[in-house]
Amino acid sequence: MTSIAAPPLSRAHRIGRWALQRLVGGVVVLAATATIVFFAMRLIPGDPAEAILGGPGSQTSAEALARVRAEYGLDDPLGVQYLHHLARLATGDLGTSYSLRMPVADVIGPLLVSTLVLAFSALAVAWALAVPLTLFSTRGSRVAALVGNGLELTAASLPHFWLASILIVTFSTGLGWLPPISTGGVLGLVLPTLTLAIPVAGFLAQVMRDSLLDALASPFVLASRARGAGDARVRFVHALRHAALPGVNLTAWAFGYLVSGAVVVETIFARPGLGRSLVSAVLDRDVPLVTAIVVVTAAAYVLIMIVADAAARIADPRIEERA
Amino acid sequence: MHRMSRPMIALAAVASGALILTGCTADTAPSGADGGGTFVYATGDAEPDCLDPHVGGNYPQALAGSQVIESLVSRNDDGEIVPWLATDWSVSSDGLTWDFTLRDDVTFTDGTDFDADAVAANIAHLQDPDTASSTGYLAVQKIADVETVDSDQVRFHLSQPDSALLESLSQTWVGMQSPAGIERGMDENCEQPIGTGPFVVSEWAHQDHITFTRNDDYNSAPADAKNSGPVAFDSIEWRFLPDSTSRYAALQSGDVDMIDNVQPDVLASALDDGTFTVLNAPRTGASNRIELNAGKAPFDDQRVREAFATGIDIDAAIDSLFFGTVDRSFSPLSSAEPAAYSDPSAFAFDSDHAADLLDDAGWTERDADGYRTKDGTRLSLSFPVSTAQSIPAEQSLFDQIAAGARDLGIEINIELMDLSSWYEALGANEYDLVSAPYTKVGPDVLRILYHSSGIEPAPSGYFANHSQVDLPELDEALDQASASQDDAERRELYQQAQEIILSGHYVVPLYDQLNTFLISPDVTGVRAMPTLSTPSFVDASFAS
Amino acid sequence: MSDIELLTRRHSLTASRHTGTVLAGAIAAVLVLCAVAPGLMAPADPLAVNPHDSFAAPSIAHLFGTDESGRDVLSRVIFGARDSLTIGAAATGIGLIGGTVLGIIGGLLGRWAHAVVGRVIEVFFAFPGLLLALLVIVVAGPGPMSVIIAVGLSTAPGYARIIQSRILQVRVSPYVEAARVLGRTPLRILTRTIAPNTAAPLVVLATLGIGQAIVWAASLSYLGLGAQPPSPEWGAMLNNGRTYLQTAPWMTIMPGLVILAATMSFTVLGRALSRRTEGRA
Repeated sequence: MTSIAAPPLSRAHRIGRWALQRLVGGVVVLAATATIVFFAMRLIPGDPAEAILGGPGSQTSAEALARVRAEYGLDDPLGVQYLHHLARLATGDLGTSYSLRMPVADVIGPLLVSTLVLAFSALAVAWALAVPLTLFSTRGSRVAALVGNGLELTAASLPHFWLASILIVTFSTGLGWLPPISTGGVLGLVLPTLTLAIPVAGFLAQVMRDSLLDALASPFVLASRARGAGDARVRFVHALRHAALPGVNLTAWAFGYLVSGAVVVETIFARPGLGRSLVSAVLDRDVPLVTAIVVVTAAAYVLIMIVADAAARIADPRIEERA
Repeated sequence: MHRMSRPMIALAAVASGALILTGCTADTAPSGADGGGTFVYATGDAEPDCLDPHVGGNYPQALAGSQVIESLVSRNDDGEIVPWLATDWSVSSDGLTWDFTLRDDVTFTDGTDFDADAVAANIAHLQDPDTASSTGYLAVQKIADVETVDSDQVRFHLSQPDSALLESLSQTWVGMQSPAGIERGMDENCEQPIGTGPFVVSEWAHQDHITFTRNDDYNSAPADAKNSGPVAFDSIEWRFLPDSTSRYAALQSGDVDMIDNVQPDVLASALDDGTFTVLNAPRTGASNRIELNAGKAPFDDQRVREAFATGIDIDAAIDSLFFGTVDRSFSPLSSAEPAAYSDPSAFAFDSDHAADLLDDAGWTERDADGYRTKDGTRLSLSFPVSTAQSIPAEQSLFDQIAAGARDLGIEINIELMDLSSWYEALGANEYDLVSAPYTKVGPDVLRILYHSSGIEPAPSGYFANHSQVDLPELDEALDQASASQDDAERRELYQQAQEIILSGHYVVPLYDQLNTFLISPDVTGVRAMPTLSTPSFVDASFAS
Repeated sequence: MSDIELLTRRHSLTASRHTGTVLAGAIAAVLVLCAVAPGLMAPADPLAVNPHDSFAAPSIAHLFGTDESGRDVLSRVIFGARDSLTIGAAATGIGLIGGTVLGIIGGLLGRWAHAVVGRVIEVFFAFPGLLLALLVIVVAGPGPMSVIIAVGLSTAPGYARIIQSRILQVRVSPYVEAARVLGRTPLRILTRTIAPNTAAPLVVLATLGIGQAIVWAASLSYLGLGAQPPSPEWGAMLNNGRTYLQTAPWMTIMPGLVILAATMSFTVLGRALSRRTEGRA
């Protein structure tokens, strides 16, 4: 993916070079996201000094504003401010949140955990929904295909906030089975997880169905059928494993999608998390907090991509040659 | 004072102050025999950035802070000032010296004594620029010096007479905190302010909840409370639930015991079927109103203002959008203020008369889209709306007002924006119409909102006189009212001021800044403070 | 937002494919007609307020019921087709143009360009899509233009990745080899050989993208940063109706079903197109 043609090298050398490339690439990506956030936050209306002094509508004195500007270096040329910003980030200093008056690192630690728990449980549930749906829709019957196809499309076309409302009205207000808000326990995690998982399951099932059908028609499946393997064995053991590969690739992408979805889901279900903080931090013009959330999310994404890439390389050494 | 973030909910002002409609079945309560247990409150107001209500000073801070922090005086349901941490007070004839007698048996929850030195430390904290107080700062602005006469006697020396002083002091934003607590510095005091109140902040899990635990030594309820000792609830779990659908669902499922910011349709059905107890407590200070920017064209012309104020059927819109749970207001003040003066005749719906007024004002031509024009300029109004400050029903109301204005030939461009952008638009004078809530105890809110000195923006760009009313006779009435020592005269002057504001059509009052709560039938005795309408649990318990 | 990538994957045989395509085509045609000439289709004025007729359940007079201001939901949905499809199409257009430019640079201009574009795409993917949208809207102020740009920008990297890989595929294909051997100039190769072979999938992408862009714009409405009132944009209607979900469910179910129908029909059409183009290649 990253290099167009690789000259023949020893395997160890190749792996080392690959790791170095990915690492440098990751750092470049993080620096770029930090840069975009910095300049975007300068463009939005609102005075950062005012945000520091209690947000919009506060009646701060001219002296207080001037003092804060000096203290935070807001009077420096933009380029200087930018370099300071990058230098601080490079040393791992995320700064102090304007609105919460706490070190950003302390703020986002628990939020990151909460969002990751939600994202990973949503991924797991998405897989748990997508696999049976795929197997069902590829049974070969017209009705099953139609229903499966419809379910996938519906799931993938649902806005989160709408799905969440429907789930709450059905499972909390109507049936009384599940709490409509996050209660800290496992039960409270069910509805937010489902809200995030259902659209992803729709995408996953579509992708897997395609490759499953390809696989079922492929020579190796035909061969194993010819050897007398039962239908179930063929479908589960051979074809599904083949079909899961694009799904695994998709999982890395889904992480970014889940973080965006978390913005809405965390608000509706009153769960602490990065997504919800992101919106309030942008609206509060809390530059350090926005920066930290974006950089942390980007870092998580980069890591997941590296792991997925490494896993794919281990599983299928041909990737190295193809790359 | 100003700025309540987040939705305010509308509801009928059946009576002023707090009103508890009971109609509950005695269910088995999740409680101990003494009516105690953990009470779960779910708020739709924003999560405060800082729990110390001295810092900044907005409504969400008052909501949470009032569970912990108490004031020198309070107000009863009739609008009279009653003793709280101060038992008695007197004012000199020139209005410049105030003497307060303090309770001598109260301690802060950290063990510090509540005394004259503590009062002095709190006023100093509010006036310290480093505290960045805006609401509390304004309230104590005229206090020039605090003299500690005795441990239970404190004297305020004022720079100017201030008839609103007691009302200002009753607000949580000017509440009394432990001097030792303040000494810890802003970061720590924001996380865990220390007062004399019925509860103590024991945990604040950001974006999730605050845990308030009972103050077992509590003995300082305001004079109008029934209970004078520790409260029944062991603790309150104060949850932040921004989404109104989930908030109501959580009440229905029994996950929470009480919610605020109730949506109109939910409120209407709750009033209908009596499943939940309804507590209706309009916020004090200003009514919810649309302010017309008289500082520039076209609203610098009284006829255009009157045409807008009378040419649209606002009553019908309010009635349908709020399911009949809300009364139209015709006053710049909340109906919770005894000084409120209403003038329905100034806003009687008459579209023909409105059209004549617009013709008179020279808006006679029509353009291709059917809007009125004058000298080739379309009669077009800009209406920035902060999504954080208007609930959906209110946004729909503005939408309907815009549709009504279209029939008159007036174009209204509603622009939904986030709070910072909204303040930016106001600061840049890029608005013709605006709706900005403002909560304060007492009619002195009129001086803040309509005195010409409120047009001049603060260094941050903030200003309160959005109508940009600049009338010498109004300024004079407001200044005199502020200096007056005589209640009747003061009342008379505030009425004059309101008459000027209403007859000049500088504002279009809509309804009270309503504040409604739904409470589980298992709970009794919750009331709203007659000061800032925040819920008080001093008399509350689970029914047994 | 590389959901697009997923949706383009070739679909193997399923039953009733033909019927499905015809149905999807019919729905899409009706929607486009609504967008072009809403006045012909709608029974009422979508902005006509009538407080005395608010929250009316679906009936003969109002097939989809009325909303909180007594406006006819069906008429609003029909007029909303213009706003929503415009947002969907324009956002997809921006995404495609951005994606194509990036894709061409990365696919044609050699190793360095490829590496740089790859990095740019990665940065965009690492940036939560909704944050990008949020920033654009806060900077530019809310409104349809901002939504279009926001959604367009956050979808561009997905398109760029597909287009780049498509170009790389085509570049090593026998046609291009042949053209090179025949001594054609690079520009000629680009316009005559590579462009036609890459353009077909673009059409497919565009069809698929519209539906996702509509859903994306709806989420911005939930955050109060989408379409401005009284626009009957579908996402805004959906969000508005959500408030009254228990009192007037039709206010959210009806626009919800229409969004679903639009997304599904465009997706089915996009897939049918992609099968045809692939069948030809």
